[in-house]
Formats: sequence, structure tokens, C-alpha cells
Amino acid sequence: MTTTGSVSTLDGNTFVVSDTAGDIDASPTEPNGLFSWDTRYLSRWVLTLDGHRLNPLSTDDLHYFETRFFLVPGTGTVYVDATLSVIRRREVVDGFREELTILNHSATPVTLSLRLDAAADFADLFEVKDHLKKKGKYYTRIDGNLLLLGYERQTYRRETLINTAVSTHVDAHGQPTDAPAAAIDEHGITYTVHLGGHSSWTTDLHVRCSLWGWAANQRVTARTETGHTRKDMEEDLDEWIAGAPKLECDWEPLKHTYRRSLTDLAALRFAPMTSGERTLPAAGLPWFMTMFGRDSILTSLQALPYAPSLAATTLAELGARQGSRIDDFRDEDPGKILHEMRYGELTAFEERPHSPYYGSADSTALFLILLDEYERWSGDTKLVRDLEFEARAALNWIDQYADLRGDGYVWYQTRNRDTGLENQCWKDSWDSISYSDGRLPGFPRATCELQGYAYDAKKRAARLARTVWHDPTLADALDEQAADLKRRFNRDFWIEDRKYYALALDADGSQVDTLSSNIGHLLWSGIVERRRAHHIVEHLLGPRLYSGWGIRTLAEGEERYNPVGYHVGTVWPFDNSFIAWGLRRYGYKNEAARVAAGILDAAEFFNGRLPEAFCGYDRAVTKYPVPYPTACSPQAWSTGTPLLLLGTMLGLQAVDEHLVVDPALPVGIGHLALLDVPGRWGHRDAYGRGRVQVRADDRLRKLRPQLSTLQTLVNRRES
Amino acid sequence: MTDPTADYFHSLGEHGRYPLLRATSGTIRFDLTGDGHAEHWRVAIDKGHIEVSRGGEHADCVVHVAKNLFDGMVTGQVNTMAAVLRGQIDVEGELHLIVMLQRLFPGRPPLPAPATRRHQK
Repeated sequence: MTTTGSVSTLDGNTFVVSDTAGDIDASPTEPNGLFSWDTRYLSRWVLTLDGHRLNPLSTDDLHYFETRFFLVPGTGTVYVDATLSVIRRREVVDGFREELTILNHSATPVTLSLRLDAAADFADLFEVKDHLKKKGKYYTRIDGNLLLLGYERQTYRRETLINTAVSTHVDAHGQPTDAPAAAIDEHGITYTVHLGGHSSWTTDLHVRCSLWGWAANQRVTARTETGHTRKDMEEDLDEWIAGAPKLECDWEPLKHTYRRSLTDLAALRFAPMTSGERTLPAAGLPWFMTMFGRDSILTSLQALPYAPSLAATTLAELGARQGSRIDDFRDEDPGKILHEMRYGELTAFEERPHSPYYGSADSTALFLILLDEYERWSGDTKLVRDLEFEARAALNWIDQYADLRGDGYVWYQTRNRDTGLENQCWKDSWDSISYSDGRLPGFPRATCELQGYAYDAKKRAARLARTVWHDPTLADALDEQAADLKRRFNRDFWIEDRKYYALALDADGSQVDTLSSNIGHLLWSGIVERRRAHHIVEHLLGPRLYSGWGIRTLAEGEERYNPVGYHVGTVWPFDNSFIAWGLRRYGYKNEAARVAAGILDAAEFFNGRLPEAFCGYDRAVTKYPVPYPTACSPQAWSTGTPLLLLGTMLGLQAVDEHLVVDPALPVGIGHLALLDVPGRWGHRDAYGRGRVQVRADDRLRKLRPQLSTLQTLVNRRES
Repeated sequence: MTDPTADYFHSLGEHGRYPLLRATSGTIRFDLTGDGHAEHWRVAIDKGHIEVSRGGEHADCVVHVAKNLFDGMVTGQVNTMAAVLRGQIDVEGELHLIVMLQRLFPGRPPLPAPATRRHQK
């Protein structure tokens, strides 16, 4: 089975991935299981009734942290004619709790054997990903109503604690009585159930994940100190939704997508061990439920007009873990913002460098960009003052440590040849950076968007230096450096005969000449010379890059282009959202609306939840966006994408003390409003109005109503 | 005989001011065990100002760790966060204090053949 047919229930970095019957039956390659702190605490959790597995009738995601499975015994035929049904309700709260209920729909009493097989392989998520073997020992203990599954490697210990509770029988008259207790063995739990006619039976289980060593000889479960209860979580989710702006819109799918995005963003909130109750966005399920510099920053940017607290926590937590020394194993330098933090066994034994790992060349500049953008929206100058030291260290990293060739550009090359990342930009797969003819350049590499981010970071830091840190000398120096970088960049990266910027410079300083979506990020950064912007826009929305759904990571016609290739031809929603922002920055409102329309159309096909990536096939060929096979979902920056696209359609900008609104809506949206957008202005409403026009070729199409057509017509009218 | 831990604490106290910790305040006590005896070091952080003393008085964060492991931590041979995850360090009280302080510990010493040209100032 694949993750596509699976159900995920989560709370922070604890989550359950099961099949649609609620069973966990992990194969070496499938990320099924109960996971917490990057470790699989249950790899087997299979329910059987009289030795047979159950068939799901329906699965109900009540909340992201709660799922209900309605099950019936298998009949061996395609017909289901059960006199029994089983309801399995699971909530991820302090590990997970599961309530099992059997209903007897007939008048005949029955005796049943209900069994839960339980096993834990304690795999590190990296081991699940890379198929590695364990080096420690397993143990099991039974103690009263507790089944304990443990794993030990030297001083490293992780344990799964499964507690059973009293079972209750409720007869046909509603009279409850205690039922026999569970029988526990090393491989699971068995209930013998004597069920009267028209009666029910129910029991509870509680599974907790423990780490050792956080306090002297004490087992510590992940969230005990916060007193997490289901009621808290429901209230918290309601508050979260209530605190976000309200969306009004006459295009119904967008409302659904918006609500889904807010809920998923709530689900992906993650509190690193030292932040107390404050949360930041984790990167995505199932592989990336942890703090990532790049992902947490970009998601916080997307969510600024909706949930500005995410940005504040992201900045504070990343600042507190900013690199402070040179450590080749971790690609750490002073001032560098981390790439990824992990808590599993391989990290613990330093077989992986993630404690934390610093292998990203963009997170440091992005940190400065978020700091400035956050202040523009929130007016929170205190945080900017508090982080002045970190911001200066980040600027110093860009100049002193990122410039590996000494030519004033940001370069990357890992110093950890075994387990470091080859590509330290957002396209971090091994083959993402290639020449047009398919060859891979040597190291170090300087991808173009890194230079854009560095430019923007300096411009923005100059503003902060001038207005908050009261250091005009620094501000002038940064402005000058930025102007110089822009000049050099436009000289060294521009490919005159193709009219676009090279994807990268290679180790010799020569151009890596492929056409890629990276040029769109350059618009967002503002490093593109104005006279050249129209060339970039033509490429982005031209047939080689634009699929009809969105802008591909790599252009059709490049040697390594592959519509099913992770970073070499798929469409990444988050990539498109920042490109749309960039189009706005250069005044291309209609083109931004067109990009927004395509991605929002795609979102509808994914039931409001955009995956990490989808295939780059032409829209005219497939008619629907084809999911990328192993895409992560929900993924934070895909979840944030509709939020940023709403902002770009409305043209939201924080300017001085005001929220500026400058809408440009795609065809299909007549009106769009965000009510109560929070910021330094208090709360303001943002309205946009379009003029619905339907062209002849739209009417001829037999598809459901969509925002963008193959030749999209965009209307706008200032509100 | 060299004692990396004592050397480290002495230089930590001598230097005094650490901008990396200017937002951090609190006390950490290190209870280092080995060879049948224990030694206590107490680090008081007051908005980036550090004072080091010996003694077992109360602290906001108490770190129990073997002396030889701690020698590794202050010389960059052992990564503190990884050792915490391995269960080799017991931390009582405010975890964030040790998370912040360990940023002053050195990084892992470089590999014999450096993988890259580094541009230095």
C-alpha cells in the first residue's frame, strides 16, 4: 500500500500513518506507523476479529488529530452483510488514544476474540527512507495492564508504553457492566468478548512514546508538561481559525481550500523542545515533521497576513540555534541559519549530522528577509532589536563564509562528503542543477536565486539598520553592497542570446545555462533589472515553463527535463506562489493572477490540499494535475501557497502604517474579500472585485468551472 | 596532566562577555562524575555575562555527565545535542540553558583533508 490511500493523524511531530482500516503494518519502505521525534514507536498495530482483518466502510477525519474508522468483518465476498460492526476512534494526544467499540446488530449473543497485534521497530525516519539495519537490541515487558516495547543501544533508549483499560459491556437495555480484562502477551493484546444480542462492547487503549535521559532516570513522554488534552486541542484549533482573517468569495472552491490550508497549517505547528508552547511550522508529513530553516521561513512568510505569530517563533528559534562555530560534519559556520533538526537514533549517534545540520545556503538570507517582512506587517520592532546580533551575524556569514570563491557571490559545497547535502538550495536533489546538455557542474556552485536572496536580504537589512538599529553607516554600506551585487549579477548571470539568467555559476565561474523556475524567484528578490523583467515574464509563462497548471521547475526541452522528475520538471505550488509575488513586485498583475488561477484550480483537484509537487505534464494533455508519486502531504509551504496567492491576487502590501490593497483577480472570481487582516494597523479588510467574463472557448469546455483556461483572460478592476 | 574541562571553564570565566547569550539568564550546574568522585562546576549566565564557580549550590539547570564525555564536549569531539539524544547526559530543569551554552563549545575538529577551499577574512 502507498501513502496515497493512507490516513494521517497528527499533533506536532507525533503522528500516525495507517491504512484506511486504521491498521499499521509497516513494510521496510512505507512510512506507516506511529512516529514521534523522528522515531517509529509502532510499526505494527493490526486489529483482527476472530483472526480476520476488518474491512473499512468509511473513514472520518474529525480533526487533524482525530480519526474514526467504521469497520465490518470481512465476508470473503464483495458483499458486506455484517451483523457486527467495529468503530475505532483514534486521537493523537500525548501519544495516541484508541477507543474500540463492537456493536452486535443481531439478537444472537456471540463470543468473539478481538486481537491487536503490536510491535515497534524504533526505526529512525532516515532508516525508513534509506532502508538501514538497526544496531541495538529489542526488549518487551508486561506489567499488569501495560505492554512495554523497548529498544536499547548503549545509553540510547526508546520505549512504547501501551496501557489497556477496563472494558465495558452495554446490554440491549443500555445497562453497562465491566467486561473481562485484556490478556497481554509479548506480541499484542487479546480481548475475549461475550457480546449479548443488540449489545455493545467498548475499551480504551493509550499508547505513549518515551525518551530516556531528559531527567535523571526518568522516562519522559513527549508532551507531559503541557497537559495536552483533546479538549485543549479542539479549543486551540477553534481559536486558531477564529484568529485568522475571514474569506469571502463567490468562487466556492477557494473557500474550501482556504479553510483546509488554515487547518493543515495548525496541524503542522511544531514546538521545538525548548520553545515551550510557542510553535513554528514543521515542513511536512511524513518525512519532514521537524524544524527546517528554509521551509519554516518560507511558510511563515506565506502566512504573515494570517498567522504572524509563526514568523515570530520561527525567527526566535532559528536565531537561538544560529551557527556559532566551524563544524565540517554539520556544515556549520558562525552566523549560518540551520537547515534541519532531527531527534532520531542516527542523529543521536552522529551517523547523520542533524543535531542540527546547517547544509543550506539560502536559509541565512531568508532569515533576514523574514525579519524585515515580519516587522513591516507587525510593527514588532522589539523582536528586530532583540535579534540585531543574529542579523549582523547572518550578514557576516553571507560576506565571509558563503563566498567560497572570493568573488562576492553566495556559493555552496558540502564539507561532509558522506552524509552532507550536495545541493544546498531549495532544489536539493542530486540532479537538480544541470547544464542544458544534461551535464552536472562541479562544486562549488552558485545558483542564481541565492544571489537574489542575498541582494534582498541586504536591502531589507539596510532598512532595519536605518529605522530600528539606528546605524545609518551600516545601512549605507548594505545599500551599496546590494547595488554592486545587482550590477555584477546582471553582468555575470545574464545569457544575452537566450534572454534569461543562468541557473547557476559553476566552479569556474561559467554559466550553467538551463532555463528553470529559479528565474522567477529573482523577480521576488528584486535583483532583476527592470528593462529585463519582460523577458523573464515571457519565459515563465511561455510554453517551455508554464504547463497550464503552473510553472515547471525545469523547462521542457532541457536535457534533464522530466515531468515526473522531483526538481527537474514537476510543478511545485510554493515555487509558483513566490513567483506570483515576484510578478506583482514588477507590476505584472495579470500574469500573477494567471499563475494563482492555475495553482488554485489544481488545489481543487486535490480537495483543497496542494501536495508538495505535481507532474509537469501539459494541462491540455492530462486535463487534471497528476500527483507526483511520493509527494509529501500536507506539506507546510504547499499549505501556505493558497494563502500567499490570495495575498498576491489582492495585492496586499504592508506600507508604512497601512495595509495597501491593489487587487487583480482572475476570470471566475467576481469578488474576493479578506476581513480582519491583522497587522500594525490593527485589523483591516481587503476587498477585490473582478468582472466575470467567459470567452467562447470556456463555454465549449466540458470541465467543471475553473479559474484558468489555456488562454487565460484576466480582468481586474480596482476596488 | 591536562584537564580540558578545567581549562575550558577557566577560559570561559576569564573571557566573561558572550553576545551569543545576551538574551539568556540562569544558572547551570555541571555534575561531572568519573573515577569514583564527582566534581561540580557552576556557570551563572546574566544576559551574556558569565561567571564560573565550583560548588554544588542550587541551579536552574543541572547537567549530569561523565567527566571524560564532558572533556569531549568542550574540545569538539562530542556534540552536546547528540549526546543528550543518546541518553548520555541527564538534564534536569531548564533545558534551554544548556542548549544555549553549548553553542560556545567548539565544533568537531576538521577532517584531515579539508573538502573545500575556504575563503577567510
